[in-house]
Amino acid sequence: MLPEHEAWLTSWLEELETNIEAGDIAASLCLQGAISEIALHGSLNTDWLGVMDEFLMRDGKPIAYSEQYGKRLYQFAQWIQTEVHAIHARRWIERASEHAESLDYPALIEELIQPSGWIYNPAVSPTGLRTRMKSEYLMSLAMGVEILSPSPILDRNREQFEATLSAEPVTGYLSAEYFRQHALAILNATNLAPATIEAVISSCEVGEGYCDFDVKAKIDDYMGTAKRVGRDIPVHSALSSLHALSLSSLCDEATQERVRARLGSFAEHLRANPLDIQPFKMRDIDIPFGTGLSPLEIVAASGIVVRL
Amino acid sequence: MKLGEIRVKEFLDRTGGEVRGRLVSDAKDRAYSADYTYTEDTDGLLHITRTGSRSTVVMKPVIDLDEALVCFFGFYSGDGAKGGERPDNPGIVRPPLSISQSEPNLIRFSVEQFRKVFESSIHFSFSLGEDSAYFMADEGLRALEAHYGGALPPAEPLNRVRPTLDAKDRQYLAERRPVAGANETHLAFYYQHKDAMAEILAARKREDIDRAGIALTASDSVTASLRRPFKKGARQPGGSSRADETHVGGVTGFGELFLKMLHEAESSIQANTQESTQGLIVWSDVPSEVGELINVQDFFTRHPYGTIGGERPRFTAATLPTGGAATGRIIGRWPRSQNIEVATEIRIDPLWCYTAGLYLAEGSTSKADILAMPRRRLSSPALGFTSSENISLELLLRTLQKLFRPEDCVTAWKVKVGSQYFPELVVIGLKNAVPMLRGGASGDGKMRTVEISVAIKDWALGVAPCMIPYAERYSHVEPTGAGVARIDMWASPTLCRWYFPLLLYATFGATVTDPATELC
Repeated sequence: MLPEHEAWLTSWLEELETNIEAGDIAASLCLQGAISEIALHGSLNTDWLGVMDEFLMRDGKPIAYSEQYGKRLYQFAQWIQTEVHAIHARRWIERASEHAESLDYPALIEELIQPSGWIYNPAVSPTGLRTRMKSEYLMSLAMGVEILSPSPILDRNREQFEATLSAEPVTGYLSAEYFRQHALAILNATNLAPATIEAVISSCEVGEGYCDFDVKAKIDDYMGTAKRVGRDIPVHSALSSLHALSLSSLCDEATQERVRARLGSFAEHLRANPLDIQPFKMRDIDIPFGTGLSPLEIVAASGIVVRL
Repeated sequence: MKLGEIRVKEFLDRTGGEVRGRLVSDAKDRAYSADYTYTEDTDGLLHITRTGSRSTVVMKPVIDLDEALVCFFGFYSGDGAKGGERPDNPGIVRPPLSISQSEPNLIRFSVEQFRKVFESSIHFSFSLGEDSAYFMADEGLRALEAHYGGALPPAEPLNRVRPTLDAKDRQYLAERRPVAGANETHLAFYYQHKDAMAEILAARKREDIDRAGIALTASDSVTASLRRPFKKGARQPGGSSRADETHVGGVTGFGELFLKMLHEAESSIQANTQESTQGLIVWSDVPSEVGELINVQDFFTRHPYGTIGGERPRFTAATLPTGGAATGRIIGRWPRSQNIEVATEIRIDPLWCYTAGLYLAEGSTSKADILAMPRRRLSSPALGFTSSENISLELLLRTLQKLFRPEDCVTAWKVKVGSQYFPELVVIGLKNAVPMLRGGASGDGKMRTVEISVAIKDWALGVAPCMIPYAERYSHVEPTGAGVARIDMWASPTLCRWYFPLLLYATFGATVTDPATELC
């Protein structure tokens, strides 16, 4: 790992420990903390399960946020959420801790399988499929299938999941397609992957690597889209670049070679500029629009530097 | 009351007629630029010509700034056309003079203020735009049937009502829309009834203008603009997507000069300086010391503007913890509302006036509701404001803080994000190891993924530092249909009963004596 990446993750973990003491914690932070420690030390240093037991369990089910974390938003009454990613985070950490599974995870997921074949908790997010985010429901399905594998529940629902994944049109988002690929791989059904992934990968080439989406393809509810997004600048992401690399395995040899070459030069760029993972900016406002660097981006950047 | 002056001649002399400025709107930062020359006639009036153009406007060398004109600057800042970008240079805007407004009182108000600035040089074109799907069902269909004497004529096929299709027709037919019926049928409806629909809309617009008491001159016009069905925004038969525009004619090329006046007024109010940066605006004193002083208790006890639907509040100073009126605040309560501390005195200064106009344009309260308030109760009292610019939010907060305690001015605030920025929100979620979970059946409720809302908070406080004192009241990100990310704040409905009457007084006080009977 590059020293800059190591320093960034170390500092982030120190800050997180302070927040944990205040009970200000989320399942996503535990997951990122665990991944960061494995990247730094090869094993877990923190009692993440202890943290989750104390702050991220409710009525025997994993939840996404502690009460204190929910207070980061004013009067956010919806902080008690048993979502697929919260269940997945706890199970992932249990496995990383080499801890026996403390919950019946497949049963928790089975409760969330919808008649449409997707897996999500409508009690948390009741939004209809038409307006749910593609990356979200494909991520939840991939996590759900991962948790169900192997189990009789997966076998009972295999055709359902395969049909759902096959019927979903190509999304245009690297993350959504990556989650589809991950779910199909667990189902041993990558032959059902879309045939036109190459076009998605090439449309998402941005900066030195890849962005999750093609900025020119962004739409809104009204007309004049090109004018509305004309000033938005896409930024490369190490995470999205690894999604592209994984997806290239579904493409022909030439595409695989092109993606590998692009990530090779991205690796060179990151060696020279280890922290060059920028946040988005909205139009002409020179203020970061949300997260730039995060533990997942640092670990992904480190992976690109070390392996490519 | 005169609050200051717009010193047009002095400004043009000082700058050599060069008008330069920056326009920040919808998160775009662009420039405007125009050069002018002028001659003076024997009456001392300026005949100003834009370089490279033949159009000339007549303006006074010094224009008095009163409450209404300052309100109008705020109003135009919200609802006025800011201009399209020059095709050869997207960084430069060409601002037309036009305002989007359907409320008749506010249209009349706009016409009066435009005339104050541009004297007799101008004429107006009032247009009402509508999706013709509006006439396919319900109220629109009934109006169309009435126009034909009770029933629609039999439907004609497209090739009869439109024997030759143009490029736009062909494009329309090729498009796919999530609505019942065939594009051919819809297009035939449009051409068969186009004239009838336009007549109905133009008559409706004329009624609005008459009702508002606007005297049209021979050069003013009223027009209707019909769109092909489901093209403009209606999603179902009978659905409306009405858009009212008031275009100012005879001032082509003078949008830059008008914007300069507006921006110099706004920035001098924000900085509270007597003279604006380039001297175009000069207030009678520092802005906070200019304007009528209002005794709040007296206003709400006796003034024609201090009533809502015939009701008035009661006052009690006795329960104030530190000595009642001596603190500069007094406790009042409207019928069916709550006690609240309000200032004993308010100055209707340029800040108050500017934000009154701004709120009328961009506040979340229905304009019709505010305008009808002197004669009927507010149907849904609410005070909220949305903007992507710090200056607008800051000026509104400063205004509210003149009347209320700071802690009462903001109940909570959120960031609304239009769908063209959802891909960015999704990536922000991925970086934080979470999916973007939306709330509500259609996804436009409170974002369920806390990490994304938290990640956007710093952006919001950077864009609008005026919200920093209210940082703890940041509530969430709310996905919406369209638009840039913007800050949306709201306050208790208790406040609007106090704020709106004073807002109306600032806007109409000089021209409307009894709002209950004179506002339509």
